[in-house]
Amino acid sequence: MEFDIGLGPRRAKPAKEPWNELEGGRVDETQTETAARTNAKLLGRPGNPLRRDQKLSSVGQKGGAVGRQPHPSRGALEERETEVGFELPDLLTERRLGNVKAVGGPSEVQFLGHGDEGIEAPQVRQLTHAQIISISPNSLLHPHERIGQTEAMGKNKPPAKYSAVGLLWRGLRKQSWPRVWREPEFKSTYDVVIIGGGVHGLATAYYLASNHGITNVAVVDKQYLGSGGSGRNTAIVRSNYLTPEGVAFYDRSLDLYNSMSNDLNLNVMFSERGHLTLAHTDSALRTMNWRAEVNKLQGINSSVITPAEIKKLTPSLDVSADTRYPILGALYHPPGGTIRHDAVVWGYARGADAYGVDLHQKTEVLDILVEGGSGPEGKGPGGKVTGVRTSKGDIHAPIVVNCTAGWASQLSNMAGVTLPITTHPLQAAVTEPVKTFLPTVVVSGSLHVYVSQTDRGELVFGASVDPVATYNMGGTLEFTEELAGHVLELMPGISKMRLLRQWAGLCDMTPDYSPVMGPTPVDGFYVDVGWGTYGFKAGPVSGEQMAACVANGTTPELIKPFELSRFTEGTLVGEKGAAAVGH
Amino acid sequence: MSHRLPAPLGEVIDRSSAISFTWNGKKLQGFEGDTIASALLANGEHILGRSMKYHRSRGVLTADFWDPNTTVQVDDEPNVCASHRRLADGMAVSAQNVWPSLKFDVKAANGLVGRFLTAGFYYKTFMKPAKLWPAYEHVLAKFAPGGSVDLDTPHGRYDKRYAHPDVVVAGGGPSGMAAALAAAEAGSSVVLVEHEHQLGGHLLWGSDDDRAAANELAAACAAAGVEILTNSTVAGRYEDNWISISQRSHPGVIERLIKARAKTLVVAAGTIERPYVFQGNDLPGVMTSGAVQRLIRMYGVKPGTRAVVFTANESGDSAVEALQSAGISIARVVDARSGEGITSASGSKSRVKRVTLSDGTTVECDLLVTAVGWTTPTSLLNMAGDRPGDDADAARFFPAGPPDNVLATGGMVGDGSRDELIAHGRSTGKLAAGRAAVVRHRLQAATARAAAVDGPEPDYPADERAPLERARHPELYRSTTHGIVDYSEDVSSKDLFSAAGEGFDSVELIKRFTTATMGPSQGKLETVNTVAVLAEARNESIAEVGTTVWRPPYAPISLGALAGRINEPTRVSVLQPWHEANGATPILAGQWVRPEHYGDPAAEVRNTRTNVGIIDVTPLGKLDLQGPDVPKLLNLLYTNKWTALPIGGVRYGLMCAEDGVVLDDGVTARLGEEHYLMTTTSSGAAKIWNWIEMWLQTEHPDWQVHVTPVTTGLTSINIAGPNSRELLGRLTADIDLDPAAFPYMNVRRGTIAGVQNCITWRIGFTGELSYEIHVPSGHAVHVWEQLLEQGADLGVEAFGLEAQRIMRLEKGHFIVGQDTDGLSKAPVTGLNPLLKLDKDDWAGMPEVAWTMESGDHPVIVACQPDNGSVVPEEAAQILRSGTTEIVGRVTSSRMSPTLNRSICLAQVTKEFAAPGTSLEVLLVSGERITATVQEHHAHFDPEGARLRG
Amino acid sequence: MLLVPCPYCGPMNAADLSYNGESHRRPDPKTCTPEEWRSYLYLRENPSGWLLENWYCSSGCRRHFKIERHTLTGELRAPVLPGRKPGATQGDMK
Repeated sequence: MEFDIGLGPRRAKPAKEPWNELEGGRVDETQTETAARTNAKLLGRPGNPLRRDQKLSSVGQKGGAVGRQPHPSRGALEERETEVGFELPDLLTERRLGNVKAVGGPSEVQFLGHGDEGIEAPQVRQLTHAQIISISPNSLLHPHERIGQTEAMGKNKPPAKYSAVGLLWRGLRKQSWPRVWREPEFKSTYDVVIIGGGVHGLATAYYLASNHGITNVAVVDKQYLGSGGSGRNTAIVRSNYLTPEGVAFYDRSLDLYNSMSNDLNLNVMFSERGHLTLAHTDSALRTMNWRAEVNKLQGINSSVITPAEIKKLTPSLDVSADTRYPILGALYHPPGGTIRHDAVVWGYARGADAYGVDLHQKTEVLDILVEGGSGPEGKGPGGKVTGVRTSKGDIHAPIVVNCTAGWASQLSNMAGVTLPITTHPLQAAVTEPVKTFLPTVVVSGSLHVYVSQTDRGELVFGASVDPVATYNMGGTLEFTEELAGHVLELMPGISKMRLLRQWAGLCDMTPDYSPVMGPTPVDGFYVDVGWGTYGFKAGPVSGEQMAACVANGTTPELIKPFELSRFTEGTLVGEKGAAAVGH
Repeated sequence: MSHRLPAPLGEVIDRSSAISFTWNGKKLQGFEGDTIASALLANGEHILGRSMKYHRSRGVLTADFWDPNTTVQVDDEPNVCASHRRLADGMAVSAQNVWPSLKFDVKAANGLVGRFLTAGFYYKTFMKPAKLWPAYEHVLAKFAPGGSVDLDTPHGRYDKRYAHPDVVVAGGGPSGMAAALAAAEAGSSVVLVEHEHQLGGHLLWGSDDDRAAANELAAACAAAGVEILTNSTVAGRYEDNWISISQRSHPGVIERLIKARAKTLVVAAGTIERPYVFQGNDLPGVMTSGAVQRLIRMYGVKPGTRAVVFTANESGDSAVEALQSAGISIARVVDARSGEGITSASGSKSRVKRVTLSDGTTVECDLLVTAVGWTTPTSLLNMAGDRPGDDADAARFFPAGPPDNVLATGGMVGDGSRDELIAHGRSTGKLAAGRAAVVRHRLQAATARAAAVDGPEPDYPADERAPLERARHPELYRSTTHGIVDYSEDVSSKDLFSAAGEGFDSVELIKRFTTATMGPSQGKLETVNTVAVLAEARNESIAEVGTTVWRPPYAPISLGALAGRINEPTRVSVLQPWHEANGATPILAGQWVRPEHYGDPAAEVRNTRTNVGIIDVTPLGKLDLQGPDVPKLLNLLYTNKWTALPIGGVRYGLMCAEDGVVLDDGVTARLGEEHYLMTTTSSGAAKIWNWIEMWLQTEHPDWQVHVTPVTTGLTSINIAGPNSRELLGRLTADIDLDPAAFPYMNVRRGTIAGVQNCITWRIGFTGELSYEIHVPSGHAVHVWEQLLEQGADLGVEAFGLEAQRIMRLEKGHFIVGQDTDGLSKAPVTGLNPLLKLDKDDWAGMPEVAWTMESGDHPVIVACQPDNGSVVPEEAAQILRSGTTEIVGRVTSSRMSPTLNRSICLAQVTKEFAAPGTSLEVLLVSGERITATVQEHHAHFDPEGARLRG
Repeated sequence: MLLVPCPYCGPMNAADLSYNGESHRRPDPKTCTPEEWRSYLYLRENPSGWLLENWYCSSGCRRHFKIERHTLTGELRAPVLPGRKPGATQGDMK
């Protein structure tokens, strides 16, 4: 990666962005090209290498511009970054308005009253883990006071404000948007290292910064952001779980999803379209009733509805009584729905980055460094984490948080912590788009299938995890066969729709279908793992609670039931009934 | 058909056979062999659709399977590729994604505001006010592309087939045909799969010699016994060469899914011609060189009248020849190999009119043909784990090295003359056959029971194929202007640049942000251009940027074909026809169809309690256990002790999983010295069989126990009620029913209604005096009818599942899985005397011991609402009085016809379990009622006088 | 779909077998501590690599057997029947 724009000078002169002029067809392309190259040269940046043209000429052309044209991309991209946010619309939407009233979430609020003066802010203090966990919540020196928001906030720039006005203005000015996040320098010391650049890791980083002022944080991911389960799930959110613990937890998540577009200033396209869990047997119906009753007691909008009501909500479902799997009723959860999963990842990444969190992509953790433990190499219970070894070098950190799925066991084993997890692939598939006809999310536990239709018109399907534990994400033909059969049981009229793509993600299954969150027997090593098939819908609340857990050194009440110690104490969570199908 | 060229052009159409169809309601004609697109073009209809976002007019681009611009609705079928689907008589074809009509589309107004609708624009807006987002969303959804589903579409005929060929060849071009032929000649069974309608690949639109060679090879394949599937696609390659083939050409079915375990897979998918990115590249009239050659030579269609050809390779040169042969004037040949280029095209909304060349000159035309290079469709190789790499000199990707049982040939691995491609195909086929023979031998040898293996294992053939040369090709991806990269998604190179500029600069991120490559061809046409534009934006090489992984299926496959003939079997007792003939309402209970009731369950209860009733309980799981070590097994799996059970005795047992949670329950009878019959819950039958086998085979392989499932071999009938002894007595002579001779919880064998070897035991799920008889199923209807006939004067009537559920609840018997749940450890049942902690070992014992020690667990209690007319719902929550704290829940509830009041079983915390405790129950209606915990689980006859009588 | 070599039936489609997970030793229920028992119940090595695991030929001979499988590549080594030593049956059919 070459165009590292870092936190470049904020008051740079707005530069012309030649390549943006290319649209519309009125501009003389050749001149624009030349201008770009000249511009790049003037600014002391490497021009466009003509490597490909040289290759072309070796094929026997006599000069001239054919084929893959030289393009001012590099220069243009760099310049664009330096002038971010200083055009009029930015002042209106990002800075001035931001100073007057909080128009959005933390990303704006944090800059209230700070303007641009924060560039020279002092470096964020390094916190040792001992410092962090020695502080009780009642202590006067609470971590977020110690590394207060002012320090954290002043250091960094806000992301460019996204808005319709901005869109319009940039459209009119043919002006492009700045980078969503930096490509940070690799540092050898952080206060907290979070392994896993998915929604859990990024949300943890975001809330560490926004709620606790801890910004000297690295998120490392072996691939790109959102490359694991966050980018592979079917993006269904709901809170109608079975146990009070589950309900309270996921309800908080739903709250955070609800306000997320505004909090993160990025439209995550939360579609509150209603969620139906079908019952095909009287025992399933009994469980639906049970869930509904627990939900109602906790203030969750959830009730059991009749086949006639189901038909009204979702006409494509076959509710006739003489089918192999008759629909006897459904648990209806109006606040449930779908969300654009990638956008959630990008929103948190952009938000965390704005607070100064370093997002290191393509950085694989090779080992977790532990001292003083009772196991081999000083790892394991009683030990203390000192950092991680990555493919880019060692990082020293008193706190390491494992926020991975699919590799949670591998990474925890590196610290000498064995988990109650087996890894299974969960498969999903998508059809070609058709005009929308399915207005709700439909789940059938008996048929092991769930389906929703995106705004683009595709049907998105998922199932239960594959029975055989494997790290292979190749997928199976049997999955698509069963899926199609079961979907056609529910909606017989769509046999001519075509399956476009199938894929798989890795799910870390625990014995009680509930996650493992909080501290481990290795001091400073935290886990937020074992998310099975329902990790995406818990991303925001997990981040919020894990951030609190790490910052305060005590496990928040909301996630206490999910501590690793429950497996030695035998106090499992009974969520199996509501989470046995991966949705 | 004004645009039809004269014969001999149009190899595949039959001009003697005209076909009528409609296009947007207008009646048109084509010929047998036409695709929908070729017929439309022949009729001068060259706009086939509108683009997704800007609703720009779109026409034929590639004229093949992957054409992104020709997606139409055919009758009730959406998203049909008009460039591939053959015309059929009476087809109603219409354009998709247009409103109100193809010619005038209101949403084309989006094009005017295109600069605001850059990639990912929706992420940046509509956030405020939040409450308006659903309205925005509604509007966005209106722009969903694609056709319409008719929800009344019947599930037509689809089918499946298993195949076990030695070699599957994917692709019926010259190399694929040669490979199939060589493999068949070497003795392999071969399936050759071609996604177009005829074998031949690019030879079909080549020279006369090419077509002759293709026909010759195809005939040789057929003669050599190769199974040829045209209009079929190898859709996926899964573990151990498990191959899925979508066959669209099988007579009588819409689509057939073939699942083949190939010993070797040969991938000869050829190459896909890449479109060129420049301003105006999506105008109707801009086509690939392959498209014009197909249209002219295969379908005899005139794609335009005045052409500009932009060529960088032989395919472009052949296109020039094809155009000349069709009498189309060539306005200009722009040769990339001599440094020429094109910059942009422009025209009216419906057609390209002029092309601007890179020297600034403008040429008028109505057809712009591009030949800029190839994409290697390495999808199947991806699925086999291969990660292809870019060769910049040849300007395309090549396989890196698939596993040994997957071989690539033809255009995927290099270039060459027709003969060179055929030679490579032949050597690949030979290699594939050699490797298949080794795999076949090993599979046979690995099957322990197989007949003698034929001879020694053959030598594993090494890959000694002479590689095909890779021709040099200029890297031509984008001109100096911006154009469409993904036609299906309406993503332009400008969108990609701006996305990269925003930081979505890895190939996966840019794909997700812009949706490029996410359309129906899944990037077959778009991926390389996307990568190339990203590489340009990042100033990196294509190899450095890398590519995405192609996922299955290779081409879209219908849900109907994947589902096949839907057949989810149910299980029935041999008595079920009798039940349904006699007014039973059937209910699905797990896999079983059972009689829920025969009209009035309450009356059935009263009759059983007063007279006698009979119920079909066949679904009860039944396992025949024989051997000297059965008592050890029962001791291990049940919580209680079994060593002292006498012959003729029956005992109830509770089973736990290793975590102490209740797994199953049932009774087991000792029939003989080493012979037992175990029953399980209906849903637990298969699970418990496996559970027993697991313990026997893995933990105690030395124990001598033989397990045989006899669930359906024996039909089980429960005769319950005060008159049951009298009734059974009338049917048997050799079983002494005297209570002293045959007491409660005992088993006897004897003849019933003339049927020998019936097993009868006295147990009482209903709480009545009752006999459960297990009759060989062949005689069950006879016995059932005899019971009814002989007992007519005793008031015998059949009762259903619901009456049984009521009676068991009156009696306070819990049901595993209803009154217990996934966390209910054995002590929850309250059957503590059955939990024998002094045994050496039983499944789940440690957890049960610790649970009993801690005492911290809920328990099952019987409770009765204080207002006996209210039946709380099963699932009604029990709360600490006046709060919302959950302390339990009602697990079973009914109105008792016997007691004339409501009765329940509930799980409550220990604190609320004492008899007499008043419980606060929250009804589903929100009302709170009170109920009182009873002394016994049984609401009725707690002493068991009736069942023991 | 994986081909799993049942020691009796030979190579079988994985879907015709039941998967019973990681093979582990059962502690003595009379003497074990809660930690040992719960570690047997819940904790798993879950490696990305070779794993000895239990399979059940549920649609064939109904034999339980152990087999070493690579959880990333799907490679299999010769199956083992309980109470027998590895190598007793031939399993390499790839």
